[in-house]
Amino acid sequence: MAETNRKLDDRAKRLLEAWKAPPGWRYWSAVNNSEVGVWYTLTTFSFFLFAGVLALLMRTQLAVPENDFVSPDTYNQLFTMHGSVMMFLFAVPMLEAVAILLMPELLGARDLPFPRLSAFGYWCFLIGGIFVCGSIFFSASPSGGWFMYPPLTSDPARSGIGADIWLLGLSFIEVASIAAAVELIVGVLKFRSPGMRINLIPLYAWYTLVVGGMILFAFPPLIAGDLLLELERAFDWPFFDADRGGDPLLWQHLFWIFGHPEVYIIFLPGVALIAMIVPTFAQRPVVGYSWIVVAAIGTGFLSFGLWVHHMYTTGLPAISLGFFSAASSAVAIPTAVQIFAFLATVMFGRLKPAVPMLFAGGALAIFVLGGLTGVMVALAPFDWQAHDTYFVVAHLHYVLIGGMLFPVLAGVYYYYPFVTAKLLSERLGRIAFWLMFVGFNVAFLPMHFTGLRGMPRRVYTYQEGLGWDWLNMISTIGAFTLAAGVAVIVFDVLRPKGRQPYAPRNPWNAGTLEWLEEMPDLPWGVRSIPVVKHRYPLWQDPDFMRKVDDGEFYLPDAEEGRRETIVTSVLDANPVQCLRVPGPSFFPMITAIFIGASFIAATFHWYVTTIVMGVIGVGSILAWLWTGTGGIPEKEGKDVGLGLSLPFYASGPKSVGWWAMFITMLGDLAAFFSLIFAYFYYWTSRGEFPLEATGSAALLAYGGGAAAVVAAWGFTFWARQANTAGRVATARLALGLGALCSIGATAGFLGGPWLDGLDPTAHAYPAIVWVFSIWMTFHFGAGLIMQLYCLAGSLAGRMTPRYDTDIHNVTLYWHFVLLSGLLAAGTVALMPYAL
Amino acid sequence: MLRLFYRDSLWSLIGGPTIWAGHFLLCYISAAIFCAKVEPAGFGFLDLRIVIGVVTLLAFIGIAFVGFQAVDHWRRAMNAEWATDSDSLVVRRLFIGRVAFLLAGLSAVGVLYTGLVAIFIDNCR
Repeated sequence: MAETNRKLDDRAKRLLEAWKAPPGWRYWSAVNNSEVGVWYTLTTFSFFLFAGVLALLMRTQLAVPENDFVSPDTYNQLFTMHGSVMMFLFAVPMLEAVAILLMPELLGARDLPFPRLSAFGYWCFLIGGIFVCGSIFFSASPSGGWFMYPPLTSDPARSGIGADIWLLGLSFIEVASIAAAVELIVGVLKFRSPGMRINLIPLYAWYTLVVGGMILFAFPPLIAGDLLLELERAFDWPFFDADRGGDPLLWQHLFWIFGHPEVYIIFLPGVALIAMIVPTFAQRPVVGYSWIVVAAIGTGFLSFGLWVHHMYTTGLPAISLGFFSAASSAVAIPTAVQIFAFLATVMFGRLKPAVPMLFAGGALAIFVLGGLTGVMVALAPFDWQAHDTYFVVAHLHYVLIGGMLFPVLAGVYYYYPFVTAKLLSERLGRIAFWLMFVGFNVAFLPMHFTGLRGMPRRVYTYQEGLGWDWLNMISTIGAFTLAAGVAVIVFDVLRPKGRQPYAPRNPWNAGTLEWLEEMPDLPWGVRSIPVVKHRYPLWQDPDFMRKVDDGEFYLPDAEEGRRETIVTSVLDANPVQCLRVPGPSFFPMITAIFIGASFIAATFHWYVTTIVMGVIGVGSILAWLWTGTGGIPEKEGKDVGLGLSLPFYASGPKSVGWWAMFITMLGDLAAFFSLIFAYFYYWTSRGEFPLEATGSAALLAYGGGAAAVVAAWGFTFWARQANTAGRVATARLALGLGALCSIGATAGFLGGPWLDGLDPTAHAYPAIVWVFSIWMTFHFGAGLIMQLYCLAGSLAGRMTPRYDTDIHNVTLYWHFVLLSGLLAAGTVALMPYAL
Repeated sequence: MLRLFYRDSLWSLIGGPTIWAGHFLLCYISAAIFCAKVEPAGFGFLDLRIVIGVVTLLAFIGIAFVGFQAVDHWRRAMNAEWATDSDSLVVRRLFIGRVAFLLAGLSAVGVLYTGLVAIFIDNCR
């Protein structure tokens, strides 16, 4: 795509050379957001089509009563895979894919802060996704429903390997999601064009920021749950086995603490696309910008108070249900605010009808209907009647298709020229929209009535004469009509467009920065990084595009042939650093292959292979970090243009790496708190928990472990202080002592349950105590590797008192380990005395 | 007036929602523990209601405090607005103040909804 009809000066040629994608087979080592974003989007879209075909198979089976098109077991696999793939391999990754694709250009940056991390996330996603989807061709898919409730899924004899594939395959992908969240949060906060204050950023960026924060707190509980359920399946640790002190309801809590925020994690990026599209086609700034920001943040918080509304029928006390019912109703307020803001924007503007706007309008109509039935099922007494019926199936599809699929398709039509420089067909778009809109409603509106007439979800067939026959037939006809619409879009997207002329630049006359992009696109993101003083700079200043193109702003050149972008401050986007982002590399792909192999081997219980692959994967990460990050620049900084000089290097809270570590560890802490939640949950739900008091030898071990954690943290902190003060030898000594203390901490934490003679297969209590020890062991191990990495860096001369970003990040890591280590020791050692 | 949040920061936006979240969690946890452990030990439901009432009152006070801080931030930005351009620091402060205030309002509604549950439900069933 690196062709252009403009004549390039020498500066532009150098810039182009620095940013162009690698040629030939090395293309697959690309890490730039424009390549990775496109791969990601196409892959998620393929998984969407795959899961859509599964849905059609289900609708075929249900078209007539007592059908035998598929067997009951196949049907179980179909609905499980349909839900899991749509949620984990389409809805969530699609938002990440689109954000990776759009975000730098929206903010006027050249790339995201950690391009190789994006690429790593993509390869993890591809490997995990193919592994999970492929299982259905061997009839080895998970079949316990997309929320995997034990005991249906905890007994390996009854659930087969499918549940392991679900737990390990999707956990692997969740890690990639968290990586994307880190990338996008840091991107929005630190990678904006100079001058783009926090009140000027595109609404899409606000939504992404909120969603990134939500992912950090929503995904870890599921990862913790996956860990417990897989330990039960693989090693018979009875976390969810009621006979041995476990509780299957714990899984439901952990799953829905993830699962409900997830609905909004999916919905908010959808609305975000609408928030970009509506102002463009109304040709005016969005009405109520700050109200929409309030709505996004408010929804982000409130969505964490809804999870029990999936569990109204589990027999929790009415007062608990009441709290969640209250929050479920309250969340309708911010949700509605956004929709009114969009309607007002349309009302006050001059609406230009076009396909993206059709899909956006259709999305709002469908979503509002889904939202209204949502308020109905938020009320516990109504939900008791509708629970697990087709009414819920109708409700969730209205919400997800209105809140995510239609907005994404609006985005496909809107942003297609942004990616390919060609417009999609207006006529085919209209046909597709009407097929999909009508088909969707024909398919899902009757399901409300099928549900109210008592048809349960997830049944593979039903008897004749229950009043469900014709409703199901209509739904099936609707589903195929909907699919026909999708087929038209697939055709429109994929049909060769070689003879079609390039789209005009900024084809929709939008006001935001991503439309600076040239047709065809050039790989540098923006020709020069502009100074932004308005929410819609292209509307505000008619000469803006020319100034950017002529390289009148920052970084119009790449004198050293490196990929560079500007880091700015969080609130006011003052330029603070000229960051060199890494270029193409195979490390992300190789690392993903080994880590993926490790997860896949664990699915088949090949634990030696798991460990070997895991170790190679960790080695690959270290090699990647050593060769690609934290390098010492050849000079302190450079003139970035407009008379501004910026440094190349930053460490501590001024560096993007520090923020990435901070954000990652917040997610890690959220997973740890999920384990704490599990511990106390057992205490409230089971009479005999904790089983026995900690013995005195074990108390000593835990105490020693806790002291060693404090010492390991203290030595690391001391090493940082000494290094900063120029006492390099002291810093090295402190790092070495810190590493010894990390080993001591591991011994203490593993020694505790061992000295107590706790058998993790006997009861949930010893099992959860062991989980704390194992959790901390992994963290001490990672901390040990980090301490040794810094020591090696110091000895090799790549970490010095001036260039010290590694030790800052490692110290930050140890702050978090200190907190979780003390909490873990306190919980397992002392709580048996207190409770 | 004590200006706790005047230090410019993105964190000041989420004061209200954070109080909502804390309130929600405290209500949920105290009800769960009460119904599982305390009521069987012979305590009356009124005790739980008092706990939730106190927690709700504290949450309202906290949100009111955050709201006043935000209004103060907003008002002071407004006073300075006449002298500046549309892309100025002042407008950004105005924005932070307004968003923080509106979020405090939304959080107050959320806390009210949650607190009301303890009025309508009077037992652990």
